[in-house]
Amino acid sequence: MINLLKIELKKIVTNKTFWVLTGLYVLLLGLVFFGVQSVINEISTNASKTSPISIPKVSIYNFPEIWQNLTYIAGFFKIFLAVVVIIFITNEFSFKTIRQNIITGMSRFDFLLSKLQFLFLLSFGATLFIIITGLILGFINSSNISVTIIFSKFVFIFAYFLEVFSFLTFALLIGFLVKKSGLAIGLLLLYNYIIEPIIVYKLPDGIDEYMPLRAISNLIDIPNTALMQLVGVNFRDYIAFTDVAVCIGYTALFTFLTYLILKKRDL
Amino acid sequence: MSEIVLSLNKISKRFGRIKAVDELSLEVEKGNVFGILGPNGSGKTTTLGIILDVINPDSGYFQWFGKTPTKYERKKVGSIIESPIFYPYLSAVRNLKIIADIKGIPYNDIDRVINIVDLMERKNSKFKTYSLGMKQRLAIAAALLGNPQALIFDEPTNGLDPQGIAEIRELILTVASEGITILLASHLLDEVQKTCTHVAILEKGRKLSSGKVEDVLNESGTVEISSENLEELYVTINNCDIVKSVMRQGDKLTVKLDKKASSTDLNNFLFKKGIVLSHLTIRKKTLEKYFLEQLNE
Repeated sequence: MINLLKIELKKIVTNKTFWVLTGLYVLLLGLVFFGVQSVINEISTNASKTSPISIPKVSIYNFPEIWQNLTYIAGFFKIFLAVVVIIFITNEFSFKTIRQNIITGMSRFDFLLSKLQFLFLLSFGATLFIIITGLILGFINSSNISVTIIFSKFVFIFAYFLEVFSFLTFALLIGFLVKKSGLAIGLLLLYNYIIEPIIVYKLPDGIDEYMPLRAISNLIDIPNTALMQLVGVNFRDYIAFTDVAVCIGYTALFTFLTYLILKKRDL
Repeated sequence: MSEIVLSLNKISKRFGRIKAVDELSLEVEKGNVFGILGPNGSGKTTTLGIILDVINPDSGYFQWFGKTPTKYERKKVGSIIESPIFYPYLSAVRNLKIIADIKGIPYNDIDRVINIVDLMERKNSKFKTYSLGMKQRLAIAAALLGNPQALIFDEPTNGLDPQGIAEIRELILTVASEGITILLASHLLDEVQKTCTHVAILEKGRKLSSGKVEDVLNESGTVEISSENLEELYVTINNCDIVKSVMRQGDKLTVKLDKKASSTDLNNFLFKKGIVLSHLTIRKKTLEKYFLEQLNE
């Protein structure tokens, strides 16, 4: 296990593409995290001017709500990490190095395992990034700080890890299926932004939320702010057990399908 | 009893309508330099892909070191298949470290193999900056890593200049002299004759024949002769019992000899009959001629 991780790290550590892409991800998400509050402030001040009732000030950086707020926002950017995964999987096919790895003495299962470790590492890094920025932003902006309060909604962090990891196993499957980076990325974007939303739209309520990418994103619901409650909508401010189960189920399915492809295919 | 390193039992593989490998059975013994000889498309690379577990056979089975193969058997085999394959953005050393990690070999063997192929000065350069010759040499270094018990070469001299070809053949002979079993696929009859002890000839995925190189590729079988009086020569030689057949071709005779006989025997026979030859050449078989012969028989 450790050996496979060592091999995987050697493939990544000196790769420029990897650092450029993950660097961009960190930069972009960091900017969004730090800038989103002022955007919300702008909107609420503008709204207050025309609204007959006063609009309450909303702070998204308060412990413990910050965890749901940040993980919800970060959910939109996980596609970026999926692209990184696809590039690295399809590289193995275009360089034919997957073939060479097997010839050298990896089993096909080992190869899949090494890629799953890569996904785990990437998800872990993304989660760690949220924890760090969350703590910084929270300490700066929260008036009420105590260990219990800080970690009371930390479950969103675990949910976020699962969300990213599940999504990346979907990217893994597409990468193995299509083998060509451009095509695989195209397919991922197409399915994520067009095909599945259309299916979800056509399906009756109650069933549509079980579509894979929808189910994965559903894990963390839209944060309830005072603003939302004012309008009269109420979203889930907890993680539902069934959502977690569905998400794990899809992760297992994607991984299993990837293994089947890898096992049956001539390399 | 000699030890069987690799055995194939009725391996078949189809790609769509094409039978790439057709009920192929082989046995390679320890210490053999075993050539798989055949024209392009005869199933050589597919066969090697199957025994290295990157291509799934449709039927049949194979064994490495007498065992049903797992990744552990592959770790004891060094291979060079088609073109050299490495991570282009990594240096030679990093690429070899990955291979060492997969095979479970300590890193201190890396410098040894880099030295063998003379790449020490460029060992920290990225693979993509290498010339074709250097890439090929790195592939050899990778195959030699960790002292494998068997080596597989697929068209090892493809695309190399004459000096490179000579170096590779030299290397194969050196490695073979250390008792390492070698499996070599080639479409060059000459290459197999110069390096191999055993050979199997493949055509359209089927094995035409196999055995020791000197038995299968017996080249002393056919000679071309002529003399002042061709008519006399023709009559005399037809009464010689080591001659299987005689064919007239212009001012020369093409003579097929009995398996055990050599050109010296023929010359001796004619000399005793008072005939002096003005021309005697041993006909070297080319692969094309060999195939024509095999198909005619």
